[in-house]
Amino acid sequence: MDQTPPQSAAAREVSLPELFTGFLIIGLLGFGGLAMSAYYMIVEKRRWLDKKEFSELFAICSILPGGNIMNCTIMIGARYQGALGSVVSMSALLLMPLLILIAVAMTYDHFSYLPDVRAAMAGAASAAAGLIVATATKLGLGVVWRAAPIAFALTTFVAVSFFRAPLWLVIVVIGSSSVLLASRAGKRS
Amino acid sequence: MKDEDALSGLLIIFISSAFFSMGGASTLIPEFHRQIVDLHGFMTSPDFAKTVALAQIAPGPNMLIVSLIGWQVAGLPGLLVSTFAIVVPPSCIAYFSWRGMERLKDAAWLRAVKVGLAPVVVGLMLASGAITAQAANHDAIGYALTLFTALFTHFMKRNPLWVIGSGALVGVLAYRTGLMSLV
Repeated sequence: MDQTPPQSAAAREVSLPELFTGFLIIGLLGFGGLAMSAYYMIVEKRRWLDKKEFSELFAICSILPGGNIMNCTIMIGARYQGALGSVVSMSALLLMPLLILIAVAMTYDHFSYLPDVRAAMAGAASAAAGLIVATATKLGLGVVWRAAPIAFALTTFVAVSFFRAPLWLVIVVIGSSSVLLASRAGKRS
Repeated sequence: MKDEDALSGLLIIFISSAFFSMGGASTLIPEFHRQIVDLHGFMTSPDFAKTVALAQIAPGPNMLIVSLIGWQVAGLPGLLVSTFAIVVPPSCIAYFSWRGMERLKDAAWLRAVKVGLAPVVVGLMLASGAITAQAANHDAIGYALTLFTALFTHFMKRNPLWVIGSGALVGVLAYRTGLMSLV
């Protein structure tokens, strides 16, 4: 098992404290998704990876199970400091967000008896739903909409929102059919 | 006893969801709603929607919504168990697959997986919005706010925090003017 890890353009060293502070900041800066703050820190500020390496890593981390940036965190930690690097990087990434999350939840629990706070939370929840819908429509702009992708997207939407289909079923049936079709189309072109 | 049931339930729900996750936490929301609200009754639907909104306020990985669900269902132990479930198993897979990366990255199947999953992710994300909207809204004002937020966010680039904050402000105004009642 002594394979050489993926070589960086500049094969450099990144220490444990550097990993810790880097991922601590990524966690703190990342509102509504970490992709932007991770890119800023890893590629632009600290130059741990170049642009190409980052996008390749991101592509692989996106298809592995779990959060994409969380997977990137594990891999970057492992690359520079082995298993300990992974643990330190992941802990740094989660530390501040978890503390803030607990503070937010406790504050809400404390004040949720006030009608105004409950009204604010109801409004925030309606807005959060809209935010998710917009994420979907923006993501949809990046898809080439031929007949097959439209059918797969619609079937998924109907199966999940109207029939409450379990996720594994959606992935096993609709996801694998779509991937199969895409790989055939890929071979033909 | 009840608490132990909740903790093991959370553990199983989040570990199994992690393995089917693609395209981030938003695509998992329908599955979380199905399991947490519909199947186990750990939370009511409106509380679930509020949790989705609260999770947007904190920075960090979107996946941490499971930590907040855990907190709401079973306090600090719930938060720890849920965070463990969504972080540790996928991290182990990522750790053991990083050495194979060089071989993975140019594979044609990687492209097929990306292209093939894209429409499914869009469908899941739309369903996620619809389910959150159903859980959050009980009157026309709520649905109008969701619709307006969706249009606004689609066309204007704004920090989600700003959008959630505006939604909260509209909620207070609608309540104060008697346009919206509290459930």
